[in-house]
Amino acid sequence: MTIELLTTLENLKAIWMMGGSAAERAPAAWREVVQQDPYPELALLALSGQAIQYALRPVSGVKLQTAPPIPRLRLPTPPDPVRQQIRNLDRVAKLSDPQMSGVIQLLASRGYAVHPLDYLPKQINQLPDFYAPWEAWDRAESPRGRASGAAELTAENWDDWMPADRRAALSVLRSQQPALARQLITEKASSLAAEERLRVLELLAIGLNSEDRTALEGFVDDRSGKVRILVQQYLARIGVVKDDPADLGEYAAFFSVGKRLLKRGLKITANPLKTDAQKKRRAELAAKLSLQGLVQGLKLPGEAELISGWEHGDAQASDDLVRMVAATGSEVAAALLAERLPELEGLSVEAFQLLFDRLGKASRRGLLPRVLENDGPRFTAALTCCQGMFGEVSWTKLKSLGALKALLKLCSEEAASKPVEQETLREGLYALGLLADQAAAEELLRAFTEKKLFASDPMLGILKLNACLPPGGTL
Amino acid sequence: MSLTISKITELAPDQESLNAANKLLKPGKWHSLTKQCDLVWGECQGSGANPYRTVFDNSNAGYKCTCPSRKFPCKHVLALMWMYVEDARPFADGEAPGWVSDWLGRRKSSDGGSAKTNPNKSSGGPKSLIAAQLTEPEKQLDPAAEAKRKAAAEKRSQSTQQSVAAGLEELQQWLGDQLRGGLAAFLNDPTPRCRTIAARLVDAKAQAMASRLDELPSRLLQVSSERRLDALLQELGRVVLLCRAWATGPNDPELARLVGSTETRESLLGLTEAPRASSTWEVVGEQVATRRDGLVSQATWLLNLEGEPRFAVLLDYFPASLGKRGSTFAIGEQFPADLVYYPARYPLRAVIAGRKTTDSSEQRERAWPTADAQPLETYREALEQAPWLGEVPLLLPSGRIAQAGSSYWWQAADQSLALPLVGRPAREIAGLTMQQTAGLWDGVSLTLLSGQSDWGRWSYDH
Repeated sequence: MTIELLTTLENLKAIWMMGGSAAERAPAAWREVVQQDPYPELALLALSGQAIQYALRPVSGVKLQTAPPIPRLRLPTPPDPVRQQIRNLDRVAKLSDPQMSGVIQLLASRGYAVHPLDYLPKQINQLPDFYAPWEAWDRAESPRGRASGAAELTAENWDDWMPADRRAALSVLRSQQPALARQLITEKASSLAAEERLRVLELLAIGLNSEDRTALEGFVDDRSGKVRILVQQYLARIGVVKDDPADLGEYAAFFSVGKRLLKRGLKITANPLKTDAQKKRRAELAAKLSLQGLVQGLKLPGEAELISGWEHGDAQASDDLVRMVAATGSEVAAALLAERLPELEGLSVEAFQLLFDRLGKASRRGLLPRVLENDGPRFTAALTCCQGMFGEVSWTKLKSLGALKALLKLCSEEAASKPVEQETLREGLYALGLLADQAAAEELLRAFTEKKLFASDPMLGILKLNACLPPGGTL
Repeated sequence: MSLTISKITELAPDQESLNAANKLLKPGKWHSLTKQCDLVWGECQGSGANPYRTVFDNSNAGYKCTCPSRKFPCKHVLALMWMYVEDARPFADGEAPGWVSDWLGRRKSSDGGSAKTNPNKSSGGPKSLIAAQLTEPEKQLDPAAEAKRKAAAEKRSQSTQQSVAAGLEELQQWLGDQLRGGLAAFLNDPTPRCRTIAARLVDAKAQAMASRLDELPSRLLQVSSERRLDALLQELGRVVLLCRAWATGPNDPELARLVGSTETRESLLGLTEAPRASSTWEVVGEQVATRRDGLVSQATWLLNLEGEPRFAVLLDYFPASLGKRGSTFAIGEQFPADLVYYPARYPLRAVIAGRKTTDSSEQRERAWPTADAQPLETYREALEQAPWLGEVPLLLPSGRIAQAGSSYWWQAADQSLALPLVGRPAREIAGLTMQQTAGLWDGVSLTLLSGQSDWGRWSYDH
C-alpha cells in the first residue's frame, strides 16, 4: 500500500510542479471524494498534504552516521553554580575566545575541565594536555583500540594512538625517559605529516640537552621550512652554531663591547643607527642568527656575560635580543635574561611571551614578585608570567601593589565615563580574576564592591568565578 | 542620587502613564519584588503570555522593561519605582539574576554606565502622582446605550465575517492559480506571490491567515531543497482545510483565531470552557523570530512535569522597532503555575493565569515525564483532532544526532525511527547521548528545543 501511495503522490507532484489539473489522474477512490467538492483540485491538494503528513515520513537514502560521543576527561566538571558563572562569562560578558582560554586554564589549575555544554572552544588543540581526547573527538577520529595491554607508547603501537593522545603520552615520556622519547621521535616523526611532525619535534624542548644533537641533525634538511627553523633553534640552544660567519660579523658590528667603569664586567651597547635601512638590516640579521653565534661574534666568554653586560638603551635592539634568547638561548640564558626583564622598558608583549614560554614554572614563580611590582594596572606581564599556573597569587602579594591601587581608582564615577579607563578596568579585573587564589579573589571582590562596583557587574565575573571555585580533581 | 516622588513624576512621559502605573501598585500584580544595593527589579503579569521583567537603578534612574510599550519609562517601571520609593519593605534582598546582570553589562558597555536619559520628551501638561491616585467615579450603565453598543458590535462582527469569507474565497482561487501555473514557478519565487495574497487577506480582516501565508517563504527556506515540495504541499493542504473548516463554523473560537485575530488575555481568562492546567512546568525551548509584518514573535515552550507529557506554548508579539527583548524565562527553569489554554481541539497555546511562589525546601528539580515510545503516533493523534496543525511538540525517547551527507537527523537509540532536523546542530550537541529530547515535528522536519543527555541538560539556540 505504501508503494501505491508513494507512486500516486509522485504522479500528482509531477503534474503540479509543471502546472495543470491532477484531479483526473488521481486514484479512483480519491477521485470519487474530490469530485464532490466545489474545488476538486484543492480537495485533492488537501488530501495529498494530509497523506504526506499522516501516512509517510522521510527516510534517509544514505546510511546515517553518528558522531563519536564526547569523551569524559580525567578532571571533573565544575559544580552547577560555577557552571552558571562560566556560561555568563561566555554569553553575557561575551569574553573572546582567547579570554575564555584563560578561564579554561584557571579551571584546569583548580582541578576542573570545562563542561562542553557551557563552552566548547574552537581551538581545542591549544588547551592543556588532558583535553587531548576532545581534540581527537573534534577531528572525528574514531577511537581505535590500543595495542592490547599497552598503557604506554611504543614504536610497535605508535600507529594505534590518536595524534593528540600520542603527543600527550610522548610529552610525559620525554619528562620521565627522555632518551626513549627521543628514540621514538627519531624513528617515527619522518612518517608524519608536516604539521604533526613539527608538533612532535617541539616535544624535544622538554629537557633539551646535548644528547639530542644527533636526533635534531637528522631533521636539518627536512622538507618543511617550519621544521628546519625549529631544529636550527634547538641546535643553537645546545650550542651547535650554524650561523653564516659573514652575517655574524655584520651583526656584531652593530654593537660595541667595553668595560664598565664602576663595577666589574663587560658592557655591550647597541651602536646608534642613522638610517631606517640600517635598522631593518639589523632586525633581519637578529631574526636568523643564534645567541651563541652573537657571543662568538662579539668575542665574549659566554652567554651569561652577554646578558649580564647588556646595556638597555635601544628598545628595538633589546627586543631583538629577547627574541634571540627565546629562540636559541640555553635554559640558563633564558632564566638570566628573565631576571633583567623589569629593566628592559619598551619590550613588545610578544617578545615577553616568547621568553616566558621558555621558563619552567619554578623559574616563573620566582620571578613573579618582581613582575608584579613593576606591572601596570592591566597586569599584562603577570598574566604572561603565570601562564599555566593561574589561581595561585595570594592576597599578601597583591594588596600593596601600585597596579592594584591604580585599578581601584578607576572605579570612580569620573573614570566611569572614560572609555580607555573602563577598558583598563575591564582588562585588569579579568587578569586579577585569573591570577588570584580563591581567598585573594574574595578579598578583591570586597575591595572593588566597596569602591561602588555592583556585585553583579559582569566585569567582576572572573573574580566571582574564582572565589566560588573550590579545589577539584587532580591529574 | 536616589529616586524621589518628584523625580518619578518628572520622568513620567505623561499623566496617562502615571494613571496606568497607579493601577499596578497592588502587590498582587507583581510576582516578585527584589533589591540588591541600588538595583531593584520585579516581574509583573501584563496582557501578554509572558510576565514582564522590570528593573531600575536607584542611583541613577536607569531602567529597563520587557513590555512592548513605546513610552519610556513605561507604566511598569513607574509603578516599580513608585512602590519602592513609598515603601521599600516589601522588596526582598536577593542576588541579581542573569537578566539584571545582562542589562547592567549592556548599559556599561554602551553608555559607560551613565544614567539613561529619557528619549521621550514628556507631553505638555501637568503630571501628578496624586492626580493618578484619584479614583474615577463608576460610570452608570445606560441600558439603551448598552443595547445600541451590542447591536453595533454584532453588526461589525457580521460584516467582519462576510469580509473574511470573501478573503478566504479569493485565497482558494489563488491556490488554484498556483497549481495551474506550476509549483516549480512558485518555489522559484514564493515571496512576492505570498506577499500579494497576504495583503489581500489583511484587507479582508483575515490577519492570522495573512501572516501564515506571509511567513510561508521563510519557513520553506528552512527546509532542505529535497523536502521543500512536500513541505509546501502539506502547508497549502492545511490552508485549504482551514478555509473549509472556517466556512462551516466561523464562530468557532479556534478557527476564528487561526483565520482572524486572537482573543484578549482578559477575555480568555474569563472563559469558563477554556482548558486549564495547574502543574509544575519546565521551560524547554524558546523561539524568537522577526516577521515580515514588522513584529517579533516570541514562543516559549513549556513541558508539564507532573503526570503524562503535556506541552504549552506562550506566544507574545512585539514591534521589532523596540529592539531586542530579553527572555522572561531561562530554558530549564521550573515553576509551578496555572495555565489557561486558548480553546482548541488540540490545545497548545496558553497564558499564565497565576504563578505560585514556592519556598526553597520545595524547589527540588523535577525529572521529565517518560517520553513517547511512539512519538509519531502522538503526532498522528494530534492531526486527527486538528488536521491544520503545523508543528506539534513531541517528547522523544533516547537517541543521537546522526548525519547523512550534509543533512542531520535525530535517530532513536534502537534505530527504529529517524527524523530529519532543521538546520545543523552545534557540534557539542552532536556528541551527546540524548536521553530525552523535546522537539517540534511538522511532518517534514524536526526542530530541536532542548533535552536531557549524558552530559546533563542541553538546549538549542534559535
